[in-house]
Formats: sequence, C-alpha cells, structure tokens
Amino acid sequence: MALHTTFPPDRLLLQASFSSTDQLVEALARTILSAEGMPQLSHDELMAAIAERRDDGWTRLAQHFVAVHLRLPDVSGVRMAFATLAEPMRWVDDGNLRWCALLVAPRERPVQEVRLLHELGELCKDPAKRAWISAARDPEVLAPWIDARLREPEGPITARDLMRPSMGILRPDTPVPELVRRMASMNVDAVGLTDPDRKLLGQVTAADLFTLGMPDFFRQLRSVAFIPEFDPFERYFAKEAKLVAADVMSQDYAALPPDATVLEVVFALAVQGHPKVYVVEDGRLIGVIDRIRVLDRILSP
Amino acid sequence: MIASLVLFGITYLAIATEKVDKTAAALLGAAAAVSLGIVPYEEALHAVDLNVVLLLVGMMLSVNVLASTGVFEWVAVKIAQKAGGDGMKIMLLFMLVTGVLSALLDNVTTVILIAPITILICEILALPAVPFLVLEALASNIGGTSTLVGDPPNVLIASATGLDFNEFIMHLGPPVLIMMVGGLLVARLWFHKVVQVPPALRERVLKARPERAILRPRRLKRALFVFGLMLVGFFVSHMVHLEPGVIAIAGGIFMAVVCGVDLHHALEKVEWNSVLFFVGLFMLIGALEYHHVFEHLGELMLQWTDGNFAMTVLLVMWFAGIMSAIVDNIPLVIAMLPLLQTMVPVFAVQFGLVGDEEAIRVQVEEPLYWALALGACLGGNGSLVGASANVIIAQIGSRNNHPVGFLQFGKYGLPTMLGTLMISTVYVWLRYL
Repeated sequence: MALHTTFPPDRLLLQASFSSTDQLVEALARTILSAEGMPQLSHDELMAAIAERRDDGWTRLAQHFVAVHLRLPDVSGVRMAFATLAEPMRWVDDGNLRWCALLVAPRERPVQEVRLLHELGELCKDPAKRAWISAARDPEVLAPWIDARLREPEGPITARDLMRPSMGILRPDTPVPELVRRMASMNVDAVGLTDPDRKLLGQVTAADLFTLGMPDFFRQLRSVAFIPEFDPFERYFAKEAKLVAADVMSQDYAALPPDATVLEVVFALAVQGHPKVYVVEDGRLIGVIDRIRVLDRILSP
Repeated sequence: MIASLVLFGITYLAIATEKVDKTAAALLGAAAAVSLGIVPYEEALHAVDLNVVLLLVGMMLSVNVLASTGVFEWVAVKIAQKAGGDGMKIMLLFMLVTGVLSALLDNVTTVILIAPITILICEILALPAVPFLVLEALASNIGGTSTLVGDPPNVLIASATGLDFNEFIMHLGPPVLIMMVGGLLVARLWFHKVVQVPPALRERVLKARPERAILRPRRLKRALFVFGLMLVGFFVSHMVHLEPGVIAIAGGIFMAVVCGVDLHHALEKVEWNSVLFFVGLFMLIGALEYHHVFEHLGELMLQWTDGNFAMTVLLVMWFAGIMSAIVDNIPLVIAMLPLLQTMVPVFAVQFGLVGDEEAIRVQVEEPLYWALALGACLGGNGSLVGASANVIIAQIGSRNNHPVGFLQFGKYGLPTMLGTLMISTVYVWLRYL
C-alpha cells in the first residue's frame, strides 16, 4: 500500500523555538494547511479538529517525539508537517519534546495513518539517524531524506505496523502477587512470559487468574446480587497468592510473525478470542498487539 | 444373537467403566450393530423412542428458560432466609425442595440447578457442603421416582408401556411420600451435629435480598404460566391422547417463544450428549430385540422364579435396584423393558386373563413396571455411580473443593437404597401381590 505522501521542504520547521506546545502545534497547523490536497479548512477549524483529538490523537512515538494525528474527509493522501526544536520543551508532565509531527490522513483510508505513524517511530530507533535529524538545519536536505524513507514501505499493513513494544519483561518465576501488581500498573489484562533471551514461554491472563481463584459454582449461578454481605475472595485467592507465574501460565496464546497481515491479527483477536497477539521474530518477543490498539489504529475516526 | 450380545456387552462395559465417553460408546455400538449387519438400519431406527427424545429435549428447553430467570436462586435464598439461617432447617428444606423439584423437572437437571446455590449458601454460613450435596442427590433420586418426568427410567417405562403421568403419581407417589418423610428424619439424625451456624453468620442470610435473584420477572411469569400448562397437559395427556413427549417439546418451544428467548440459543443449551446417548442405546437394544434375546432371557428368569409372579416382581425390583447401584440405570431399564414385556403373556396365561387386556394391564403389567421403576430409580442411591444425579453432584462438589468420596456417599446412600427398597417391597407386596 503506497502512502501517497509527498514531503516538500516547506513542511519542515527546523531548530524552531516556541514558548508553548500549543504554539508549536499552531505553527505546524499553519504549515500543513498550505499543503496540496488538503481540504478547504480554516486554521481555526483545523485547530478545533486537533483539540478534539487531544486525548487519543496525540501519540508519543519515541522518548522525545510526539505525533499529533487526525483523519479528515477529502484529503487526497497523508500530509505531514514536521518540526525539530532548538531547545527541548516540557511535554505534558513527563519528558522533553525535541520533535513533533502533525499528520493529516484521509478518513477513508485510516491504515495510511497507522502506517505512517509506524514509519515515523522507526525513524527514531537508530541513534545515528536520530542525532542526524536533531542536528539537521537545511530543509532541502532533510525533506527528501524523510520523504524517501516514508515512501519506501509498500505492501499491506502488518503486525509490525500495529505492535507496540512489550512493556517490561515478566519471567515465569515471578510470584503471582507481583505479577498481578505489574499487570495492574501496566493496565493490561494479559502478559507474555519470557526467558532472559526474550523467548516467549507462555501467557498469563486476568481471566485465567480469576478462573483459578473463583470456585466453579459461581459460574453456574445466574446472579449473586441477592447476597449483600459475603466477601470470601481473600480465602478463595489465598492459594493463587502462593504460586508463581509458571504455575498459572497458559500455552494458549496467539503468536504471529512481524509480517502477519492485519487480517491474521484481527482473526486472532476477534475470532479466536485471544486478548493479545504476541509478535515474535526469530523466536524472540518483539512486540504486542491488543484489541483496543487495533481498533484505535484502524477504526477510530 | 451371539454377535448382538457380544456387541452389547462390550458397549455396556465401555459405558459402565467410563473408559470411553458414554455417548460415544452407545453411538459407536449402534453404528457397529448396523455396519456389521447385526440389525437392519430400518429396524435400529425404528427402535429409537422419539417420545423419550422429545420429552427430554422439551424438558431441558423449558428448564433452561426457567433457570435463566434466576427463580432457582430465589427459591434457595428464600428458604435459607425463612429458616432463619438455621443449618438443620435449611438442610431439610433443601432436601425437600430438591425432592419436589425432581418430581416436576427431572432429577439431573434439579441437582445441576440446586447444587451451586447450595454451595454458596453453605459457604456463606460456613457449613460443610458435602452433607447437603449428598442429601440432595439422595432426595433427587427419591423425589424423581414419583413422576413420569422425574427420573429417566420413568420416562423410558412410560414411553414403552403407555402408563400416563397420573398413574405414575398415583402408584409411585405414596411410597415416595413415606420415603421422603423417613429420609428427613434420618437426615436429621445423621447430620444434626455438623450443621450448627453461629448467630453472626445467620445474619448474612437474614440480610439477603431474594427479590434481587429474579433477573427477568416478566419472563418468569410467562415461563411459569407455560410450565403450568405443561403440567396440566401431562395430567390430561391420557384423556387427550397426547404423548408426554409431544406436550414437553411443544411446551418447551412455546415457552422459549413466549418468553422471547432466541430458540437457536435455547436449543444450544439442550444436553444433546444425553439425548444421543439414549438414541444409541435404543438402537443397540433394537439389535437385541431383533434377535429375540429378551424372550430367551425372560424364559430363563421365569425358570429361575419357577413362574412365581410375586417372586418375579420382587426379583425385578431388587435386581434393578442392586444393578442400578452398580451401573447406570438408563441402559439397564432400556434392556429390562423388553424382558418384562416377554413375561407378560406368560403370566396372563397363568392367571387365566388371556383376552382381558385391562385385567392383564392391572394385574400383570403394572406390578412389573412399578417394581422396575422403584428398583431402578431408588437403586441409584446405592452408590456414587448409581445415578446420573449422584455423578453430577460429585463432579460439582469436586470442582468446588467439596469432594464427595465414593465411600462417603455409600455410607449414606447404601442405607438409603436398602431402606427405600424395603419400603417399596412392603408397598408392592401390600398393593399388588
């Protein structure tokens, strides 16, 4: 799938300085409005659309890199404005911002947005490239370089495009209480367990933990609302508290290679009912995809 | 004939030892009987009693719809509350309700519905669940004996003989009533020391809100109305010349439709495994019938009892009772029914009743069939594997850290079986012999 994006030098703001992130985003919005193929929008309308997506359309792609992205009707292809900052800025409450991109994608082709976000994220992985972009001062040099990299990927969107890095490594010898605490702090319902070489060994899900702790008769009842005073769960889960992750892990998980198609990912999540898809390359866990990530990346407007 | 007996023996062994899933064993046995040419396919199909199949499916459908309303949770919590959280009263009332529900629904379904809520109540009151579960299994087998729909052996007997719902209640109700009263007294003696509940825990039950157990009040009203119609239908089935199976399947589907339950979803909850188990057994028994096996066995049995009718009736009851404690009573009854049918003409001749159908029915057929029903249903209490309800109770108990052991069950089940069979012996002797 081609990205249909062109990235002329006038869409770059290099070594720029802003007093606030709002000012930065406003500058990017003004820049992108001049791009070819953009719908007839006023600056205020674009800013309103950006503000509307503040909660779920502002994505941290790397430690110092945030992408503001939205989908609009009647855009002929993905459009992007990109800024590097002369001095790092405070971004929300955590970390310093060095790069910021504003992406506008066609509403009819949401995967293009996903793909571009992924490619931008990839740009940040190589320290040498990262340093080179941060130090770049000539838009005429940097713009074609970025454009070339963003144009390179062809073909369908894959698991690699959808995945996010696994948040922390959990070992099979992790005690269950610690495992549960980590899952709660990561706000996830399922985690993969790996060995020191990141080889995926199994999966623990909150559902499995509930199944182990809750006596079977609860599943046969239609409701329990008629009992106001009964809290036996510490007793029920006492046994689980003494176990380690290996005792409760399951081999029933979905592992796909990075080049697995979206169809395979969605099939594993929606049809086979797996809470997560683990992306495995050369036997090593390289990322995870959960349901809401797929929905957010592909379906949300 | 030898081939059909060997095949039946192998299948029966597979079912009894549970080495193979019993439905798979029955269906494979039936398939083998047809494939090996032991019985023609048409004959095997003809042996399948659709009345039984429809009755089972219809009852499962209607009970599932009723259960979805939360009515069984409501009944259990209401009982526990009315009993004031008193462990003994709750135990006896649960036993009684299990017996009554088993008579109206069927005993396997009843224990599936009542056991989970029993365990919950026991956990709330810190009571040992095992005595409750054991008593419920025993009560379900006793209560189920009293009606046509209460226990699978009765369904089979009714379908094979044409005995109607009222006749089952009239003939089996009285001894079952005596057994239930006796059972309650004995249960009190057995368990009075282990069902004490501290006052603080009783409060938990007293604060319960049974009304919140009813999830769908409108559906419940409609389901109960249709269920009432079904019961009326069973009572008058003989008068209107409708088989119980037709009433049950029509009632079950009507209930699903009236209650707005998606029929596809409701049918998914039918235990097709059990239904197909019956189908396989019917086909296998059809193979034995085809080769006149039961006529030969009947002759042997009559030789053994020397043609003494009273002896034969009591032998049928005790044989069915003891065998039911050892093996599944469903295949046993399916196998024994044709055997009894071969004896009827012999005794009709002996009593000089040839040509008088009504007299044959009352004086020969009914005593034999009631003896079989009492033996097969009550014999199931003799051991943990004697009845499907016991097995289900044991499975539910074991899945919830309340294991019901074979010996533990037998400690209460065997005396119950012997006691109830003795009551049955006296009853059959006084009423029919």
